[in-house]
Amino acid sequence: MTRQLPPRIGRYEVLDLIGTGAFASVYRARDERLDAEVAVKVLAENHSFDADLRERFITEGHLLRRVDSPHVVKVFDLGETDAGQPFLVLDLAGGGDLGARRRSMPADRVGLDDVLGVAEQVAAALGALHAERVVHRDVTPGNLLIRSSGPPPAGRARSGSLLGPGERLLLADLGLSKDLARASGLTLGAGTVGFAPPEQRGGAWIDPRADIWSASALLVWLVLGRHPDEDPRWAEQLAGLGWPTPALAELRRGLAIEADHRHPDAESWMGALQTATEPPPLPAPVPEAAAPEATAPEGAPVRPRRRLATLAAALVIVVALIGVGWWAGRATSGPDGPEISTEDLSEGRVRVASSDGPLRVALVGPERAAVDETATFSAEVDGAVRWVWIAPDGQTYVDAPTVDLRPTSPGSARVALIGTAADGTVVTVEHRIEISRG
Amino acid sequence: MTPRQWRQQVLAAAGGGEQRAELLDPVAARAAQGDLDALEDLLWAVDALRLARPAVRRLVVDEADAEEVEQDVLVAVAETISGFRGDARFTTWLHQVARNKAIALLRRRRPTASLDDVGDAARISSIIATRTALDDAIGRLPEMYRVAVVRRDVERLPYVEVAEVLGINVNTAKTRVARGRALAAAHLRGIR
Repeated sequence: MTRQLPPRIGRYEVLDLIGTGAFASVYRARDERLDAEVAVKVLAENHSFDADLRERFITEGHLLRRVDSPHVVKVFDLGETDAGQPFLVLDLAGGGDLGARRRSMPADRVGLDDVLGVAEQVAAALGALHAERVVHRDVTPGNLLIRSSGPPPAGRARSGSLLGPGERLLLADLGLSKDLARASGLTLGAGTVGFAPPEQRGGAWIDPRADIWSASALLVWLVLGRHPDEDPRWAEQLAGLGWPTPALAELRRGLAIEADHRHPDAESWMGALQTATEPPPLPAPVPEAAAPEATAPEGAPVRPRRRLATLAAALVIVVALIGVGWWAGRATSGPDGPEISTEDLSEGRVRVASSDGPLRVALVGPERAAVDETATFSAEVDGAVRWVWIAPDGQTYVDAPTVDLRPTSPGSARVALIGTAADGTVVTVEHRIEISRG
Repeated sequence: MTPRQWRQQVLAAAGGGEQRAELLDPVAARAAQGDLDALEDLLWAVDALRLARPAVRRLVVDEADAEEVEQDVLVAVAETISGFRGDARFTTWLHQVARNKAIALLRRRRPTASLDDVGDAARISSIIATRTALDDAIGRLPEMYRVAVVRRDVERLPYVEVAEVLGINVNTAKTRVARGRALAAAHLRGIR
């Protein structure tokens, strides 16, 4: 299909049509004064005199001007054609969008590093928008453009294959964005199906945590090619692909129905994902000294305080252990770690065991399981004051002698058991179970 | 507080929206009651501080169009200030007036728009030119505005010549004509 290109838009010479949407067209164009190629986005002629659409379009330019981030598309100019159509002159990304890039790749090649690399850049973009009290409301793979030159992306380089070296993401299309400084957070339903958070579907209170939901959905989509709404069992799928359980817990938090249950902002979202996917330096020493007996004032009721302190210490241990748990599984029997032995038992069961000094931890369970069939795992723990199970869906169970798991999709899943001794020694065993169709 | 002191305070508060709003609101309330001196001060503030500009700029891109809308806003403020109830900030009320005037300009710019459809400032200008119910309205304008409006709208001199005759610069001439038209609009409204 050929379409008549306007020879010029304002002072920009039109080279070709990059894309058209319901309300605007985007052209690749040449800025002769600066000798540079730019993208020119023009509001459709039939919408140019619609006050609401026109205002939204012009406001996008004003918002982009306020935001300063290497990961948000830059605006260079706002103009008007002779026909009265407003147009924005923008960064030309040149590398297509993330959605097209992902679809052109074999599904199994999108790894954890790829996803974290995207998350880092999206978090940087959202952080800059949110700092200006702007909610994007339409974070989708199609709105993340790939710019193929320029300074290297923020953060450390990753070995992923989704983005090549020197490529960085630009968040574009603020056409739906909400400037919180200008209005109440209350707004009409909007966004892209699958990437719009629950509160955006019916029209409700919107704040930056709406974008956290969309960004989390985006990460799931990048791996599975389906967004969480399409695939309610996304977490099991990711677990089956070897995703660390704490990372799944963070994604689940980002996708919480209630905005209050999500990460409060883009920075903490990224920080949590980072922590959840990085090996902790060393198991945190058990804070024995945490019990504040010595500091309790004379005559004060010591018991409740001590109890509180013990609870806090227990929480610290569990949090630390969750981190250790998956990492130990990822780097099974590292040079310094305790050795893990796997022993085949009768009836297709295995025993995975490890020990450190007097602390011995083992889990016993089936080697394989089928969808919808209950698989029972039992703990054999010696010398431990506490043990924690981590199920494939990220759920944790403390001090349970057995756990029953019911797989809901085929693939492989991980079950981990972490034991901790009174002196703070930690031993982790992990079992990968193959799940077949029922 | 004298008008002069008030204007100085408004200028000094130019950075702080809240402080300025508190200075504007009582003057707008007096103008709404028909106090023409208060209206003159109010028009001065809207024009000198370009209070309508942000609202206009959300819809209008072209610079000349934006100026035209700002002049229409001045006339609209003069004509409709009696509708300002004081239950909202004057700046909030002004924002809505400016938005409406910007939308009116877009309507005029439509390819299908009638050529008879003109802005408020242009309408007042032609009323002044045809001297309909006018002598009283113009006669009551403060001297500074009256001479500028007469040169421009009655004698139809270009702004450059208005400026030359009055010994002021072109921007000042434009400003005086714009505010003079708005004040004349208020008087005309009273006469009808």
